[in-house]
Amino acid sequence: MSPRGSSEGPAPDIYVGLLFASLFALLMSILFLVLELNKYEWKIAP
Amino acid sequence: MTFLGKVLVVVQLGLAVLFMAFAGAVFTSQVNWRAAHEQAKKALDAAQSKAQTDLNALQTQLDQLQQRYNQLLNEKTALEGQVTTLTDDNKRLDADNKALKIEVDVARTAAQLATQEAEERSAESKLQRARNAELNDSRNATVAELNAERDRIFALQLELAQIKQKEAKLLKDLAVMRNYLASKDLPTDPKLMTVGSAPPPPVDGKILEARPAARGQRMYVEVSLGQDDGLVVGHEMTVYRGDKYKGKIRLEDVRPDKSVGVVVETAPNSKIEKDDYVTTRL
Repeated sequence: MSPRGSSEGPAPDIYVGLLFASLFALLMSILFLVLELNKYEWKIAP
Repeated sequence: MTFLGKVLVVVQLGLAVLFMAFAGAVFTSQVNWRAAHEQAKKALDAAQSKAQTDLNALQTQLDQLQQRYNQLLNEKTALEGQVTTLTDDNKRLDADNKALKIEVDVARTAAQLATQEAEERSAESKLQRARNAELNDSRNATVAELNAERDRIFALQLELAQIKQKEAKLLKDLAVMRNYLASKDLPTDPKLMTVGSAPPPPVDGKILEARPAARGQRMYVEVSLGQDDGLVVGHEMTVYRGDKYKGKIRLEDVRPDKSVGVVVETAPNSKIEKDDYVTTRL
């Protein structure tokens, strides 16, 4: 983490990569759920 | 970054990865229950439709069966009535059957008698047929014999006609010959003619009766000898008594046990009388 007000940000470390990996995982999960709901034509209750 | 932030980042990453894994597993392996539901619903609708159709058909069949049942019930009632009637008829027919059995027995007995009679008649007809055959043979033989007899009669008639012609001729000749013999003062009786050729047998007899001769007539005597002793008309016999010759007689009428003769010669000074003896031995 870099201090506020500095023009150049802190250098990304391994945890930033982990955050991007988490974001990718969340996006893939959302995609899978969207596709699953698409099979049911977005109707939750029969 | 604090230690807590680092831990939260790592936890967030783990949870995100876990969430992605669950979402991917659900997407890849989850069954489409909606499609299955739709398919099952369609199958259910089809089954319900088929069941309704079957139900309607069964209902129709049930109605028909109900009508049939009612009809059969009516028929059952009618048949029960018929059964009652038929039971009465059966009883009556049983009685009739018994009576008919008796009649059948009587008829069977009569038929047996008729059969025996027919057999007897058949045997009699066979015998009669054989007898007829024999009679036919006999008739044929008789007819043949009759025809033969007719032929023979015809031949005999022809022969008789010829014989009659010969007889007529012979009678004419005989009349001529008799006239000739009479003209020569010869006997015309054939019996007298045969006397000479057949001499009398040696017999002795007696005069049964002597009728005295009237004037100009011959004397007749009855002798105890006749045809049974071998005498015939024309034979001459000697009359005697003891050793005295009294005359001769010639038989004119000869019968089986006695004869009548005429005196043809008388000894001088003697008279033929009853109980004189006659003989042919002299």
